[in-house]
Amino acid sequence: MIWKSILTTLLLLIAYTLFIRYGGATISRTAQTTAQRNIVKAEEFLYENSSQCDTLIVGSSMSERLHSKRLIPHCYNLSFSGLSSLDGLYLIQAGGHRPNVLFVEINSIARESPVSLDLTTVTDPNSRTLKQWLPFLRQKYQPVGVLKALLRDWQQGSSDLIAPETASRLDTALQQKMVHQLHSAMSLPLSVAATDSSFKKAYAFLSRLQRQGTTVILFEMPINDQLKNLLAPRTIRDYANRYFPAPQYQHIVLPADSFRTSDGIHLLYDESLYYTNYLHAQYEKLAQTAPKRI
Amino acid sequence: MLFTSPEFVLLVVCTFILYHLPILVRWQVPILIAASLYFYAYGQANLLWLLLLSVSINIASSYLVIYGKSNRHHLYAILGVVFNLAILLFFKYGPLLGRTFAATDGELGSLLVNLPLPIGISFFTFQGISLVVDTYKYRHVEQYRSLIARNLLKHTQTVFFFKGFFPQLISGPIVKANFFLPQIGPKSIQAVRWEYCFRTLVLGYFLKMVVADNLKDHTMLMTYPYFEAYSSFTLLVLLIGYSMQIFADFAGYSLIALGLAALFGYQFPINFNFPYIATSFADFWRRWHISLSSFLREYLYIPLGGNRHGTARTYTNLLITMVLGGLWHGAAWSYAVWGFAHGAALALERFAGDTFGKSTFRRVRLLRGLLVFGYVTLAWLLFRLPNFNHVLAYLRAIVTNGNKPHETLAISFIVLYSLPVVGYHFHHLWQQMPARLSISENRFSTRTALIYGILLFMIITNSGSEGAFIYFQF
Repeated sequence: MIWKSILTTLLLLIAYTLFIRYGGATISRTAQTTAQRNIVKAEEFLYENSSQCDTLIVGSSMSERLHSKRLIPHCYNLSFSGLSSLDGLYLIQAGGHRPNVLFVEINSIARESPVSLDLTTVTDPNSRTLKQWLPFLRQKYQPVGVLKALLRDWQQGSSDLIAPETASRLDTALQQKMVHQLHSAMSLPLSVAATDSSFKKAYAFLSRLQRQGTTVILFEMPINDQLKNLLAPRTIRDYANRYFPAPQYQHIVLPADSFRTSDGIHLLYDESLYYTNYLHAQYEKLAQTAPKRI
Repeated sequence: MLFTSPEFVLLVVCTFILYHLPILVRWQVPILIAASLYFYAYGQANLLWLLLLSVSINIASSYLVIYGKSNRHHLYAILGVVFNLAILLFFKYGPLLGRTFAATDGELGSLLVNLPLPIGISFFTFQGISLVVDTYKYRHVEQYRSLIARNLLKHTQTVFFFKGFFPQLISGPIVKANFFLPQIGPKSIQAVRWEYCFRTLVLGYFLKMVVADNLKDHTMLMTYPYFEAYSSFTLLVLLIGYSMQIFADFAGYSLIALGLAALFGYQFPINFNFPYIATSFADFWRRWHISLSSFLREYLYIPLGGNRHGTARTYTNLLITMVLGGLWHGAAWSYAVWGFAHGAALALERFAGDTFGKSTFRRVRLLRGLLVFGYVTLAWLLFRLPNFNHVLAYLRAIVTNGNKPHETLAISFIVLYSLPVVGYHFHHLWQQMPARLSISENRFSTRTALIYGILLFMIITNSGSEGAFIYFQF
């Protein structure tokens, strides 16, 4: 019985590998959960053409809402839900890819990433080699996720549109509760040691990339008006200015506008479009005034 | 070290090779002890001393119960149990007692609140109690006495192995001394039941890595206050999904433990016997975490008097046993409430059975089964949300969120990943049916091989994100 079972498994693996090899190119957005979406995005960056993109964004779920293709063509958004900009930087280092332009979200630099969302399994050299040659080991090709993607594409066509979070769908009572929770958390002082340590790591990454010719642009994602000037965001801004002083590093400052969010920190669909356009315009300005060509 | 990690697989492979080398047969038990110590130290090296202390207490007390002065056997047994419980109380319940009764900024309160929780403490402590109690109980039975070697070194080795054997060290099954000690002896590779090992390991890993770990990623939605945004239907599906997840997680772990032990020639008791087909609460507890429920029955409920002192006392004993059983799961009052809910259901069921008699009608049994599953599932909410206010908020949301939109995708995935658990239970029911006997063994064997091949394929390609076993925290 054991040999029959193992033989069955081997046959299934071979058949599935052939399916991925000849039909995998059209399969996209297979992730089943937020955590898996992070891993699939990281895998696509490491194993597929995305690593050839010359502009990258690193950040958290806040920046994940940016419309990368509107920001700059050939831009890849390496922002991860629940994680920080540092995770994106680790991935860039693991991929050995140097972008021409790198947008770095400062809001989440000091955030400690939860172990449950850890991306180390993706960057581990041994598993990377295996996944390079055996694509069925990648989370992107989990059969259930692939089935989901095929059913969705069959039903809706392979449009990249995701149902946007709009103001009309918003639960205002819940939103207020979340803003209230965040208000308490963001009013507390940040741990000096942890914040220092995170910024030192970010500095090590970014200064090296800058030396190698990458243009580093630091930006902040807008959040709810009641939260944006609390102690935690103010401290982060101070740290960002201290570790990455202008004009050595490019900064895009927040506009004076108010932004609507779904929960205090995540922009609604329209707002993220608006903010992407703002970032694009600021980037164009920087490109014109920069001492070297961006 | 998780059972699902590559480090663990490497440890098992190395231990297995050394263990079955013919020239090392004499050293089989020490090899397993060394592997077990490495396994424990890998996760919590700083608390290895506590495991050693616990083992030492049990070595001394069980030895003295047999070979100490006969008029002190009772005293040694009591001291052994008390020391075991003291370690458990201090390390596991210290933080809870500190938070409840002492000022957390005071010296004592701060000490208690900051105590580390040693992994597996509830399991190895209960095994220690089982060793001391069984040794005392059977001290005059020659067959059992012979298991407690006069040579202290040999006895140390036996106790060390009994308490520390790595497949069950941190999450059970809780193995009783009178079940395990007679099995200790030289084992040969020819005696390994390969097919049994393969089946239990594949099924165990499938339940854990494909079902539980994927469901875990979806039941994350049951987080306060985010769940308040979902519809009543979504919340109910999430709750059922969590019920399936906790079963797949723990039953999967137990199966892996059984399979691993069998690779080394040892047998553990079955820990889960299709609990979600139970048609009464008593039946449920005969099927769920059997090693714990039988431990509680044998070492707590019966010594309390069981059902021998009248109806009122029986109900009280049930409640005490279940509340303490609840607290065994975790140092939070919500676990006590969970235990009380089960104790109350058992008492009420007993009362109803005594008053109205038991119905044998199939439909009534089916309804009872649904009621038991619904109640058990609802009670799991106390495991998922240890803050009691969040539990109430969840229940309120189930009642009031009728008009909110459904999370269709999450619902679909939860249903999909719950299906293997449902199928597992139905397959068991189907096997009990007379029709099953008409299928030839050969055909069944081929189909079984195909099913296990598919399960293995799913383990390789569709495992969820790596996560600790839920019962590790207990």
